[in-house]
Amino acid sequence: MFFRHWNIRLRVGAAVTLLFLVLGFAVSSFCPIPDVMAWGSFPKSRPPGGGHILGTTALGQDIFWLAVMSLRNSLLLGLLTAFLSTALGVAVGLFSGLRGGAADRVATLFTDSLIAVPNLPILILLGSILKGRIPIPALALVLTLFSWPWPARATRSMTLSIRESDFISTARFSGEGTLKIIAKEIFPFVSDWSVASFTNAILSAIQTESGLAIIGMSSNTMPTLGTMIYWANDRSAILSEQWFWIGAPVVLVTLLFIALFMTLSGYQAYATMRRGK
Amino acid sequence: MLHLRDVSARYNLLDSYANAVDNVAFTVGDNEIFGIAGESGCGKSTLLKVMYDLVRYPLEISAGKVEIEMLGAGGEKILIPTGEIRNAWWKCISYVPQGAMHVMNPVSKIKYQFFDTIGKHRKTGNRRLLAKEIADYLRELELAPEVLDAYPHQLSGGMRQRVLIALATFLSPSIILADEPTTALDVIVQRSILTMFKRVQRKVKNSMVIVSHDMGVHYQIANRMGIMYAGQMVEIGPTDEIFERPRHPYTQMLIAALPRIGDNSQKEGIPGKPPSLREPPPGCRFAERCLFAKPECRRAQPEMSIVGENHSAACFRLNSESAGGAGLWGAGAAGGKAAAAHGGGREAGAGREAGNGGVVRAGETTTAGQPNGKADVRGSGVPGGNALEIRGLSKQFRIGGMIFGTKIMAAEDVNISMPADRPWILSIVGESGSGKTTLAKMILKLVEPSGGDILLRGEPIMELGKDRPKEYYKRVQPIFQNPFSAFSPRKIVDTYLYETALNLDMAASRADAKRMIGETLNAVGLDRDAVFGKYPNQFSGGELQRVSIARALLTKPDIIVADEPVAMIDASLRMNVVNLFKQLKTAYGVNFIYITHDLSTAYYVSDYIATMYRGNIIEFGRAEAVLENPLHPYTQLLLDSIPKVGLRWDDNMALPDIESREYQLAGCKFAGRCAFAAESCRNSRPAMREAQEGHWVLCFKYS
Repeated sequence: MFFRHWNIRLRVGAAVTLLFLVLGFAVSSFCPIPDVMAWGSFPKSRPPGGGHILGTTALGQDIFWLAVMSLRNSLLLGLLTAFLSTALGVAVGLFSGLRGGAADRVATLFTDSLIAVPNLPILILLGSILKGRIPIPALALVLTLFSWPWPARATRSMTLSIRESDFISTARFSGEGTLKIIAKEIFPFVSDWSVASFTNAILSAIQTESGLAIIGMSSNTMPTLGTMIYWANDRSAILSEQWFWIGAPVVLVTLLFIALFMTLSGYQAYATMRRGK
Repeated sequence: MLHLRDVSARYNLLDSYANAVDNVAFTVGDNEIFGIAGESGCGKSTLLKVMYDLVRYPLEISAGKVEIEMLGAGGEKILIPTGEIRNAWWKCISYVPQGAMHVMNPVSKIKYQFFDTIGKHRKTGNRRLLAKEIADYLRELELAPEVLDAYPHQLSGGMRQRVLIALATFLSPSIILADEPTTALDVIVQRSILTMFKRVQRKVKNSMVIVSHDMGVHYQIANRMGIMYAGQMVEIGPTDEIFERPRHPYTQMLIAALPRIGDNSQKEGIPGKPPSLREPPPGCRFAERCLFAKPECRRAQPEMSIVGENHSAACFRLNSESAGGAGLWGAGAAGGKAAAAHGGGREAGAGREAGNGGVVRAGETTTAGQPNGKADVRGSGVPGGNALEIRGLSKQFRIGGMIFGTKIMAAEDVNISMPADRPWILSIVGESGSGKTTLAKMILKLVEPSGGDILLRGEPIMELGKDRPKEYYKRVQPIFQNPFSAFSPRKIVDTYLYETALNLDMAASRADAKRMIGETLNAVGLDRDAVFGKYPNQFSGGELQRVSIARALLTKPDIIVADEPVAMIDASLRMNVVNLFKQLKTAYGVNFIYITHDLSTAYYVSDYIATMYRGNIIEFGRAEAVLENPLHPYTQLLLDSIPKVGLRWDDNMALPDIESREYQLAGCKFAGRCAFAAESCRNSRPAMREAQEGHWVLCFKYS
């Protein structure tokens, strides 16, 4: 099988991540409740059982389906942000690194400025302006704005060192254009790193959103793992010992982080092994 | 004395072993320099590590041991075996590693590195006294004691290497091991380091073991030497014996392949490549490449047998045929001729056989032909006629910041014009930092000149590159120093060949390109089926360099710029690549610019030679004229510093100062190092003069 050479971290990490993906995107489509966020749909503060796998919240919501829908939205946000920021960052990094000159200086100025800007205060500000009305894709775009400079910087520095290699000159003297050189000569060296960066970006996007949500600055209309924790906290779930309400999102988010982290570090070890080092 | 008792060592590769040292036995006597020669990957560095007891995972000793034999205080014999040798480091045995760049602590001054090392092995007591003692010792070795207060990065590579030698010898160990001590250093620096080794050895009368791939180095300093091949010692003997009466076919071929200045005869490299150390063949390891291999050679391994006084070799021919003395082989060059006469099919590729004889002969006549008067260092002004014309080319680099930075002239007012009527090979020689690579990069448009013009058949390359880049790539092609970095390790090499053929409109279709690539690969002695579908790491250095040459040839260029194309290739394969240049010059009518620091291959291959010194061309002319009768003192110094086989250096000669780093702006740049420098040399610049017909020199002596 293709995962024969995978190490244990990569196997466990990938398996748990896959489980989360199934839970978030496949299971969620069987959700019987039209609006999991609606208050008072069910009797309040029920323990698990009686049609509610994990019981209900103090607001009368089904905890299991609320958690599944939250996971779906959080994953969607993470994947969208990670995809956009990695794609944009790697593309900008490759171009500015290979082109050099004025284009490079402008791109570097831009990325460095964005890195220097503290993103959390700005996100809180944005959140408070748009409070409750920001849809997931728009939130993903905002998060992308602050996360693409990192892959751009790293890719640029890799490109700068690869650019000096003789095989880039060989490719030029073979009549290859800049685009082809980027795609065929440089990208193969960046691709392994991009996968790791992508995973990392999912992590940090979910983390940032959760952080925002916990202080009540994220979307109100869509359930995410962060908003679920916010509401549980808001209605003193811990004091009233409603462990499944506060526990479900916390456990999910923790497991997701561990799984993604294992995938990331396992993949790096695997990539190193595959390069034969 | 150092005894090696049937030592075998291997690298543990988890799924297999690489048997880097296989059953090696010899003794290094007191008061001698023992040289170990062999191509890269033959296990010579590993052997040195085993001798120094630097054995750690994944290296392991699988059989035998190394013993240091010493006389104790009461005159009794003390044996220090493997495992205990590390307790005797620095005091009894010391090691000068390869690459002095990486073995010194970059954040600590040289003197503290001396203190640290010496303090571990001797009660140091008063630091000031010790510092004085070290300074005295450095002075004895003709090193300025000021280096003690310097950081490693402030010293040049040669100086660092000399400091390391001083450190290694300070406690007068009875055995000193040196791993490629002069590799990657310029010939002039190399000479001073080798002379230093010899002088130290003569003074201390200890044993030295020097590993080098350069046979010339061994000829200059070793008393006895061993030749290694694929992890085994194949021949051991006194240096003169080895060079005059080599007995093992491998040694004979190595020596026959050495290019020498003044010797125009055809040289052949050794075909094929060494066997894998993971699964070595059951028989003689050289059998695959040997011209005399018989079936028995492939079945069993030959034992070392005595072939002369202190001289032994491992070859079945020496056991079975009672061919005494020189009956089998003449010395040196004669062996090469016999080898050349022996067969046409020695090259790996089939295609070479056909063209071999005729092409080579044609190449020789060109070399010996009439001097072509048009090659010139001034603009000779044939409009549109010259294949290459360089006019007043200069390049400045800034080092350091905007305010405190200094300017370095990597090229200054370089003028060359080369004719178009007959293909030529122009060698550009010089030490590192002389600007030869910058010049090559400017011709390749990889570096933009600060001033001046480069014209190809009358067209400036900057405009040509801008307006018709394809046309430029068709006319000029590069060959890089390291073939393994000239191809992406993640792509199969044929992609580059196809790209060149198709992108530059050399072939109309993929099928057409395939046919063309096949023909070109044949021309460089490779077979298409042996090249296609392979990644770069599946080739040997020599083979991959041929692929690189084939790619450059696909466009049928005017000029191929080859920057140190054989520097990374084993000596045994080097001549194959160099010979190729000669053949292709006539077969394809392509001109070569051959950048090198190796004057002997330059002499062997080129029609014209330009010597560069700190950005200036200081001598230019036909290869024989420049190298047989050098006019500029620098060219003379370079030539004297080549470790030549057949002519030993005078060890007592005062060595020229190699460390003058100032870039004088007023006078001749070489004046600081020149033995003939007069007052005028320091105050004004000489101009290029035609000292003899077609032989130009930048020196006041000839004005």
